[in-house]
Amino acid sequence: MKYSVLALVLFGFAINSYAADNQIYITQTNATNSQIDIEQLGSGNIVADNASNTTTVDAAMNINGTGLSFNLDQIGSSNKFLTDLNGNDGTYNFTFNGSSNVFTGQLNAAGIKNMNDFTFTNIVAGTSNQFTVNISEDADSNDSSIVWDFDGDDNIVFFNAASDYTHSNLANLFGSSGNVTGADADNMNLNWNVDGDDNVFKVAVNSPYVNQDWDIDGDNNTLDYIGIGNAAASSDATGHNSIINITGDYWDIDLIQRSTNNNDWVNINATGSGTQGSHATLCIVQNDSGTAAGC
Amino acid sequence: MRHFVLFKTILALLLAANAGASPNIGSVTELEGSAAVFRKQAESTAKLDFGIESYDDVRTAQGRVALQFLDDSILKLTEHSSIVIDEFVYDANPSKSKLALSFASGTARFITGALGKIDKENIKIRTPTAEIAIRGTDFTATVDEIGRTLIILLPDEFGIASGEILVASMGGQVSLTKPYQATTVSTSEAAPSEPRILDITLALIDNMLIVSPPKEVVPEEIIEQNKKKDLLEFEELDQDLLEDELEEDLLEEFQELDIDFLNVDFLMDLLDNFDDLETKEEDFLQDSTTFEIVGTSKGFDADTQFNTFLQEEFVVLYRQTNNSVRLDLQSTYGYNILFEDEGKRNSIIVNNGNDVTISITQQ
Repeated sequence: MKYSVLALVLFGFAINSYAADNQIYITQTNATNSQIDIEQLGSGNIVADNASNTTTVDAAMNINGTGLSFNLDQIGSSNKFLTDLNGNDGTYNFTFNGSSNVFTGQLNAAGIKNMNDFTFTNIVAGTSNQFTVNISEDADSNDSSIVWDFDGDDNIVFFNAASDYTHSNLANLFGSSGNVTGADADNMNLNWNVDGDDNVFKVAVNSPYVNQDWDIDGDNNTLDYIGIGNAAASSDATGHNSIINITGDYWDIDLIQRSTNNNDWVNINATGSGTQGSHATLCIVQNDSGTAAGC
Repeated sequence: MRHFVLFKTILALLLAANAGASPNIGSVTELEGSAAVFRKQAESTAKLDFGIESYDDVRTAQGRVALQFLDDSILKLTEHSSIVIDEFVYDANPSKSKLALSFASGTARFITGALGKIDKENIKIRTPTAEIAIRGTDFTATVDEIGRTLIILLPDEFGIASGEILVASMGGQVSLTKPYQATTVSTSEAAPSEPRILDITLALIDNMLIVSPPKEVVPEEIIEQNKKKDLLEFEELDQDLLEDELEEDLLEEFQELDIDFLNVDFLMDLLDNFDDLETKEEDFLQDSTTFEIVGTSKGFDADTQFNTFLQEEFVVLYRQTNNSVRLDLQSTYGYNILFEDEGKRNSIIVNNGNDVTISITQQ
């Protein structure tokens, strides 16, 4: 079953799909305050662009417009959501309830649309899902609020903001792995709530005044975070601000704050541990030279 | 005691006679860094025993100063403070004594002497936004750059309220009657905030407002023990152990609010966040769980720059230089912490290590 909505200026529609292998393709340009609600139940469903190869599904749906409200529920397993969203003041809610789903998206990838003041909420209940999200590739996305909720194991997240850190998934899909030129993601508020084991998070943010708050409850979770581009920070804790509360055991956290200024802040609250043979590990690097540093 | 008061009265009168129209009403008794006294638009550098007169404007920049008045009242000013002594009249008859101060900025602690007996209407302490009436009290006042005022009533030596403070503005007034009860006044038109009891300690306040480091006090029992000891039996190691034990006791009491870098800025922070503060009516005791640590001292370690203390079931390691790291680690586990700052490496082991490996690099 295939739904195709091409180059429409839509102000609101909803699609409910109740079978497996649904394919919804969307391209929408320059709509204002539009609302799109999609719910897919079953497995093997797709939301993407109709330019996609029907076999490989390799093109992201594209929506440009201010004040967009986009809600997607994919309830089932092995679903795929490829998206390219652009526009200020948007609200984006995603729910994935199942396993082995793939969400790959760029927000303001077009480079001509700022994406300031947007809200992004992603709720995941399932295992072995993979998420790759790149924000502020070539246009600003300041003052954004981003929430990730995970309830499951073995999920993998790649999250970039205004960063040229290479994620192969993005490069394959969009022909680019990101470009920091002229793009900022200042004042980003990231809130991560993770309840599960063996999840992996790779996060890179290249902008000042970033606040991230992690609550990780589970064992063997891995977090690699790098925050760079904090040159504008001028007083205590106005740089990258990271709070990580972690329970469970055998966690592995690498946290790098790198900039040409100081005033970065880290607060780790850990109630779990490892063992003598298999430690829980935490690495923190705060580098004011602006040069590369790693754990 | 009566003779002593009479003596002081006579002394005050003699001082007045000797000095003409502007007798000294007190003097500088403690000084750290620099402070200045402005008198009739002339600036004088404050020194120890410098005489203080009515209408003097006492200011600190990068310094702290303590003034002691004729009635033994003590006024301590921290850095960047300014206060004008509008009027001070000391008389053996409390009803004839007067005190009027205008506190412009900074943080001050008032420890009242005989003035505690003065009728309240004769004591006037003003800030840009509030008037403070006191009776027999020990309290701090903090005024920020826009005139907002924070008043904290402190306990006496027995831990009970040292008296009562009435804090008034054009918008109303509140009464502080309990130890560590505090109120803020944001503008002269606004009513003082609802009094709240802060979760702080007198040790913290003392630490913040100390002007001169106190002389070391050796407990009498130790002196007696040493007297009784045969000199030939004296072993230096024993003394060190005793000192270590005393020091350890003090360090075990080190808490988050004892972190020195907070200093008086902490009171400014309180002023900013007063409404959001968690407060408690009583029970300032912390969990008595212990932990072992090697490589940095409990409390503040000048070498590693870590503040280490126990907060409930967590060992807290806090380091603030250009950047800040705070670790709250469950005290039942062991941690190996490798720390590097500007090429200098330290190894810190909590509870024999082995469970968690932590590396911190601040460059």
